[in-house]
Amino acid sequence: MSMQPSDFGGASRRTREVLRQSEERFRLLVEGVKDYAIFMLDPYGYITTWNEGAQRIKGYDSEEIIGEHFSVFYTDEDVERGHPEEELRIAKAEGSYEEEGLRVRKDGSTFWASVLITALRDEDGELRGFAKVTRDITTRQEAEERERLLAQERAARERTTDILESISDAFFAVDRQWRFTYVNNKAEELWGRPREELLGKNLWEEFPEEVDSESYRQIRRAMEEDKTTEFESLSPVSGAWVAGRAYPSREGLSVYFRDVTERKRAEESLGRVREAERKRIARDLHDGPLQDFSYTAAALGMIMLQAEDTALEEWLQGAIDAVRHGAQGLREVVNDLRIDDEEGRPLTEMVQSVVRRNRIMARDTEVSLEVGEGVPAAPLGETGTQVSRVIQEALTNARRHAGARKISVSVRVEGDDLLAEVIDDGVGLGPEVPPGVGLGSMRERAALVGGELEIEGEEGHGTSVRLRVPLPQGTPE
Amino acid sequence: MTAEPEARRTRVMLVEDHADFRGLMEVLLGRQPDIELLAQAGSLVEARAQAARFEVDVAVLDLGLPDGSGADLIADLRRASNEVRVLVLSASLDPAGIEKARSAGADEILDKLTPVQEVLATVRRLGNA
Repeated sequence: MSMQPSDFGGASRRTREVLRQSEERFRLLVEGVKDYAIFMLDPYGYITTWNEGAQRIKGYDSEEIIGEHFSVFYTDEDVERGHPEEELRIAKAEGSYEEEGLRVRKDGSTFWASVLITALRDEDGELRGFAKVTRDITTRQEAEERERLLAQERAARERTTDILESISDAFFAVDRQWRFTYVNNKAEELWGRPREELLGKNLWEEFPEEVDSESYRQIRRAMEEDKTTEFESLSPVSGAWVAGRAYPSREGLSVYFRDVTERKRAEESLGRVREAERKRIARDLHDGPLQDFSYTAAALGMIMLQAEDTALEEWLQGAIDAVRHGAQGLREVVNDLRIDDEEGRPLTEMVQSVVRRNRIMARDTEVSLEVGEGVPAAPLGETGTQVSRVIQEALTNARRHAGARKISVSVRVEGDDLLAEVIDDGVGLGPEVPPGVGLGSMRERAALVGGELEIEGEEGHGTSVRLRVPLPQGTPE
Repeated sequence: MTAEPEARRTRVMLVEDHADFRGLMEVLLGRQPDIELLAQAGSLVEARAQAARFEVDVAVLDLGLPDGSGADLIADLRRASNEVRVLVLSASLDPAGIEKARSAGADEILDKLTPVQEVLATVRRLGNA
C-alpha cells in the first residue's frame, strides 16, 4: 500500500518491524479477497493498486490497469456526463460515496455493481487518494428481478384464473398439439370430467365422439386458418346444445362455450308456436275470405249469364276478373303459409312439391326442375327444410316481383356441398333490391344451416339465386 | 212426342259447406233441364247419410269440409255406387289436398274460380260418361 505511516516518532525498530509485518498481512488479505474488487485511486482517479477480486470482477490484471484512469470501468454515457469525476467530488466532500450502477468489464460486457468510494486523507487532512470497493451484484439483482417477475406472473395468473373460473361460460385452452392446457370449472361441470383427467391430454382423443361434429369442424378451422370461429351444435358428449367461439392464441386455442339447450328449446317451441300460428292463419283465410271470394266470383258468373249482350256485361266481367285476381293472390298467401312437417321428407320430394305448387299458382310461368346425380334420397332434416324454403322464396320473388316467364330450378351436389339454384328471366333484381322480397329471410335460412347465399341480378337480365350448403354429415347418398 | 226418360237426367249430389256457394250451385243446377240435384250436404256426416240414401251419377265435392276432407268421401261414394263420377271443386289448389283427391279417385278437379259454364259443362260430361 502506498499510504505510509508518516511519523513513527521515537518508536523502536522492533515496533516498526511489528507494524511492517501487520501492514504486509493486511496487504495480503486485501489482495487475496476474491469477491470484492478493492483498489486505490490517486486523488485524480488514476488506479494505484489492484487485487485479485478486481481482476476477477473487471477482467484486467494489475499490470495493464495500474496507472489507468478509473473511468474505464464506466459506460460511455456515464463518462460523457462526467459521472466518475462526480463520484470522486462527492467522496472528497463528504468522505465517501456509495451507489449501485452499471459498470463495464474489460471485454465490454456490463454488470451491476455495488460501489463504495472512500476518500483517504493523511493526518494533516490532505487528500491522498481514494479506496474503492466494488462488488458484482448482477446475480443477486437478477435473482430479485426474476422473483419479482415470477410474483407478478403468479398474480396475473391468479387473476386470470379467477376470471376464467368466475365466468359462467365453459372455457378451455389447448396447445398446438391439441393438448389441454387449461380447463375451467364450468367446462368440468358440462363435461362431467375433472380437469386433472384432461390436462395434458389430446382434446380429440378425450372426446372422440365430437370428431366430425360442427363444433369439431369450427374449432379445427380456428387452429388451421388462425382465425376466430363460431360453433353451435348438439354435443354428443353432454347431450346438450352448445354454442361457443374458438380464438387462436399464442400457444394454441382458447375456446369458450355455453350450454344453450334452454335457449334452443325456447327457439324450438317458439318455432312450433309460429308454425301453428301460420297454419291457423292459413286455415282462417282459406275457410273465410277465400271461400267468400270463390262464391262471389261464381255468383257474378251466374249474373253474367243473365246479362249476356247487355251493357252490364263489361262491368260484370271487370268485377269477376278483380274478384278472381284477389282470390288468386289470397290463395298464394294461404299456400305460402301452409308448411307441412317437412323434415322427414326427402329433399327431392320437397322441391318437387314446391315447384308443382308454383306451377299451379302461376300458370303463365314455366317452371322447370332439374335434380342432379348424387342428391341424397334420405331426408336432410333442417337442411332440407331450409333449402326448400329458400327455393320457395326465390320462386315467389321471381313470380311476384320479377314477373318472370321462365324459371329454372336446379339442385345438385358438388363435393360435400349441396347446390340449389333458381334462375329467372324477369326484370332482374339489381343491387337495389326492393325491401320485403325475402332476401333477408333467405340469407337467414342459409345461415341457419351453415350455407351461403349468392344473388346476382342485372336489370332486365333476370336474377339468379344460388344457395350452397354443406350436406349434413353422414348423409347416405 | 216421346218424353225423354227421367233416368237420362244426370243425378247430382252437391257437398259444400259454404252456404251461399251451395245456394248458388243449387240455383244453377236447378235451372238445367238435363240435371237433377238429388242430394245436398254441408258436411262429411251429412254427405255419408245422403250417399246411403241416394244413388247419383255425379258428386260435386268441396275439399275443405268442417269435419274433414271431401277426399275422404270419395271411397264411400264409390262403395255405394261403382258408376259415380266425382268432380272436386277446390278453392285453394293446395297440392297436398289435390294429390289426396286425385289418389282417392277424383275424376276431375276444378278451381272454384272456374267460370260457372265450365263447371256445368264438366258435370254434363261426367254425367254422360
